[in-house]
Amino acid sequence: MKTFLYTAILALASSAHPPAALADGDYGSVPLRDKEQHLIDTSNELHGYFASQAMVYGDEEVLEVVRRVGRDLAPPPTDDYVEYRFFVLRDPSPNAFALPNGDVYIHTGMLARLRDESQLAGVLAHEINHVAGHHGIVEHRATKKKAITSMVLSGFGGFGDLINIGLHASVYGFSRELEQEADDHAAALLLDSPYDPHALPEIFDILAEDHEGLNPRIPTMWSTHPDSRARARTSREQVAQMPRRPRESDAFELVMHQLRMLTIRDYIQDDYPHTAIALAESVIERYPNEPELLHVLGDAWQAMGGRGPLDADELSNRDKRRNARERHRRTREQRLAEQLETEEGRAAYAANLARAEDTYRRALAIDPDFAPAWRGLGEVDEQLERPRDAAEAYLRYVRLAPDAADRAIVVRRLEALAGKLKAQENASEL
Amino acid sequence: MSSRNNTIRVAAAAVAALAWSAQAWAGHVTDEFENGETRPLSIALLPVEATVVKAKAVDTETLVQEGIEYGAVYAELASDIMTGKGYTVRVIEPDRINADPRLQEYVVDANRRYDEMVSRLRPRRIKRRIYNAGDEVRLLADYLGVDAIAFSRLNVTVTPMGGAIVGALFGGGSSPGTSSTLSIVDGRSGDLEAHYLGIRPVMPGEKSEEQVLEQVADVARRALGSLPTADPSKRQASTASEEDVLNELESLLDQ
Repeated sequence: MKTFLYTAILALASSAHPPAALADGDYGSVPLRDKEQHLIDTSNELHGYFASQAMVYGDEEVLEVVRRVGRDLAPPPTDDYVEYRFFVLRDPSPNAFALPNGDVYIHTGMLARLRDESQLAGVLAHEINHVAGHHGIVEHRATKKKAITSMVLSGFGGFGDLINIGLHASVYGFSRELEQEADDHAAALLLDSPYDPHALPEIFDILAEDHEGLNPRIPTMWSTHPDSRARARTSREQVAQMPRRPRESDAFELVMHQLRMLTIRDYIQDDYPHTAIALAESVIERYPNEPELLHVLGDAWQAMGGRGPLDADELSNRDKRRNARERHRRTREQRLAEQLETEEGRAAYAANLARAEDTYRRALAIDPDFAPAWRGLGEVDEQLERPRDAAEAYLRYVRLAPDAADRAIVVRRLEALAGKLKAQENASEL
Repeated sequence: MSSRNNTIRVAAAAVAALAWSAQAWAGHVTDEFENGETRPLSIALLPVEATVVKAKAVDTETLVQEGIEYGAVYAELASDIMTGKGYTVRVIEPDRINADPRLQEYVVDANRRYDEMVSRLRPRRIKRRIYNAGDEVRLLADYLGVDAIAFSRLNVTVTPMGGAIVGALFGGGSSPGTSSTLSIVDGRSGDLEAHYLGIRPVMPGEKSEEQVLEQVADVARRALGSLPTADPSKRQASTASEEDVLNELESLLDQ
């Protein structure tokens, strides 16, 4: 999936493209030249592709908020090939991108981290400026010109590498200029809108978060942008003199609640448990008595396996690169097996399971019939080699939630546990 | 001497490439899949993730609509081949997925977990049973009522002659051709049971739609040529009913 996305979107999305612009964006009308229509055609087709891969997030309430904020910000289109449309993609990476035809996509992983509509407006304003400035088309032209120049020059013996190094450096610099331009225009766009421009630097703070010590956590479009911390500083200076506007987060929080739960689960599923814990704890601060939230937090602690606590700021870039390499080399089961070979890993494993158990019990203290917490307890007991406790917890789950989607999975686990219990019984009789 | 060494190196590389290709086409399976114990009878084939690119002289054009169309064609071909080998195949259409929010969630989860697993895949190690796609695939298989889920990827690269010449002169460029993979993941255990790869290198040059479709059909045949037939007599089935398991366990816990 990622391969396709990068091939397609890198060719189109302004926010993504590291090689790029020799020129500033053009906020007037930009007629398409020969052979550029394919940029628009491909942009139009991409949505069909996302739909074919079931990636388009369909919660109408969430979409309505995103569309409304987008509409509040989008300027009138300057060309007939541009029509602003706003979509959400189911992807936990904190990302957003815009296509030359005006389609703006924001990931669930970005929405889940935002606190209010002003922050959402900050993200969308940045992307809208990529469209309004025709950055995709400008970059396409610039890249093509540079690539041709590079190839021609590199054909004359010996200069190729030098030329390419120079090209790469300047290209990267220009890309940053366009990004900076989008940031600058975003601040101005927010100033002319109902939203608070002071939300803009907060987005870069969010993007600078690195809970997993992988920086970037996963290669995202935004990771090719200028350093997020530097952008946050620049942005703070930029908006310092702008007026503050009132911000309301309760309604936004409510609409995004299920999306956040889904994103936490996605982080667990994708094996980013530190990020899942951070996000879950931040939501639990606001909703401390929700068993469902405590349950996903328990799952996140389980997913930690033999990993200890992590302070990404204390890791060197080399450590982070090594972490990323290791992560992509081995399956999560292999990594857990390696962690459990060390004393430190075993201690972390026990501590994480204890945290998970404690969290499930907190959920059950609020609602003793909250079935998923019983399943979580069963999983912890199973990992701690307590088959009787595990069987009791799973059984409780199956009885409380007879129509659960994972019933067959849990029954298979119970079948295995029955075998273990019988073996224990036979052994004790002997 | 140096020229002779180079010739030997090129020959060795060619032999190695051929050997690798032959193995790749043969597929990699677990022992239990081979002997039939975990070989499924029913398979759900998820939408094929297809990438179609035209590698031109100075840029690469991604053909999105063609990707969707060729992916659907590949799914149909793969389904026909598997059906011909005795499997009950359900092709899960995107429209059906998008109309069912729960199915959509399960499919996205399973696809992501599969992508993570396959990015670490070394096909020779499948026999060690170290690749597992987790509860996400089990949930999907249960929901669809099938024994296994099949994930498939298709890549088509068209390199026009101009692009190939520029690539040859100045370096870079993509090799033209079509390749596909099809993995079968067990719905009970979540284990990767089989992984098939089909490759069809072609000469550079513009290709008509018929030619690309012919390549797609060819890689489907190459990928699945060595898939064994379904064999109900060998598959290990769970004998106890769910309620039997629960009752037995309750009585064990009461003791």
